[in-house]
Amino acid sequence: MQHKKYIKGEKLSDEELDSTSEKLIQAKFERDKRKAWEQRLKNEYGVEKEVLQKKRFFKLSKLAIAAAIVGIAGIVLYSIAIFVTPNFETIVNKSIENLDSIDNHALATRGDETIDAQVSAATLAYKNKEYDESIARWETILATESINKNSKGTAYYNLAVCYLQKETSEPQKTIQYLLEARKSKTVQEESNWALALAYLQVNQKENAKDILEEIIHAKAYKYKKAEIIIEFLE
Amino acid sequence: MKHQPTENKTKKNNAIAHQNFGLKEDEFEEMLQKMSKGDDRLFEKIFLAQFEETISYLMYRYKTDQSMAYDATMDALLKFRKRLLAGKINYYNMRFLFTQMASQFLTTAFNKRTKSLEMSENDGITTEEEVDDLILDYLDIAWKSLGDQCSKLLENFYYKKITLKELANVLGKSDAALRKQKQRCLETLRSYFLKHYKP
Repeated sequence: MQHKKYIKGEKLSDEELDSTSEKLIQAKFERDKRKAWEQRLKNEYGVEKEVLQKKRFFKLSKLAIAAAIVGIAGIVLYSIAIFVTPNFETIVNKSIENLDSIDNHALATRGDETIDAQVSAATLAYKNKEYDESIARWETILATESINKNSKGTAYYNLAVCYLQKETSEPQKTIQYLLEARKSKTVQEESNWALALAYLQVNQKENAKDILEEIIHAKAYKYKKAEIIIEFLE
Repeated sequence: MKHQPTENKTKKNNAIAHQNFGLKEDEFEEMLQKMSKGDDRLFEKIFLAQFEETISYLMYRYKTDQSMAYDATMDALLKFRKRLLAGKINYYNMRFLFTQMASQFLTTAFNKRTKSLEMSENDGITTEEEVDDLILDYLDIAWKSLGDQCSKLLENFYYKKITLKELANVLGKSDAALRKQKQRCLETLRSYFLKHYKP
């Protein structure tokens, strides 16, 4: 136990220092020698210490368990990622679903009772998801000569949304009506957002991107959502 | 018929050489001579070549695994070298002696494994107090800080077992001067060790 005194810095006589140092120096060189011989045995004679079979199996089984855990965790995380993290398509479809018609009666009708009745009917049909009925009503409204520019914009927008959300959507008509709708300042921001979604639905990504960039730059309606979508496009 | 005694002698010599890993007596003396001067090359050539043979013997004789047999043979090799340097092994039957030594290291390991407190102490295979690897790691660090003169002196004296007298002759110094130098080197080594050592 003399080397304990040595390592603790306790006082050692010359003889104690000599004998302890001898022991430590021998241990050091024997360790070095052992390593060197192990290397030579391996390189020159092909003799190597084998890992105990039991340990190897244990290690292998540990590895297998670790791999299985990592695998399962990976699958679970992947599944969560799939179900929890929305993909591009999901975001676009959800955004289309969330579009709503603009129910601004006063702006749309300006007190015209005939139009007022049509607008009420169109809005009701839309809310009941009777898109064809709503489309017919909005088309009728748009054909009315007395409708002003802003009201036209709202009507075009609502009509476009119906075409976009109906079971068999008609994207070309949607785009056509939204391009008309965005001419009206009152529904311009909503129209741009819906137009970007309509372009995405028909895979016209560049057109969609241009509009989304415009929305983001102006920090306009739905610009946060636009930022998310544009990340997918880049 | 005239040649029979010579043939018998040759056969006997070959048998003895076989018992000594193929070394003849003069070759054995040459090996010792070289080892005493710090040259282990012949020793290593002879003993590393028979390393696997000893492992096989231990595995067969004790039905043990290669890993334990390997360690026991390695321990025996280190011990055998020390004993040769200490002049405790003569030219007689090194193969038998070495195998016995390895067997005893193996049985000591078996005992350790079964946590037996009774260790074999026969034939000088005593269980030495083991030095912790961590201490040796710090000793390595301290050793690297030592100057060349000190490290050579300590290695030659404590590990290669070259006497101070021989070293003094080679270096052209007196025994007393070298003894003092050795003492100073030991103190320096310890101071470097204590400077770095963090248990």
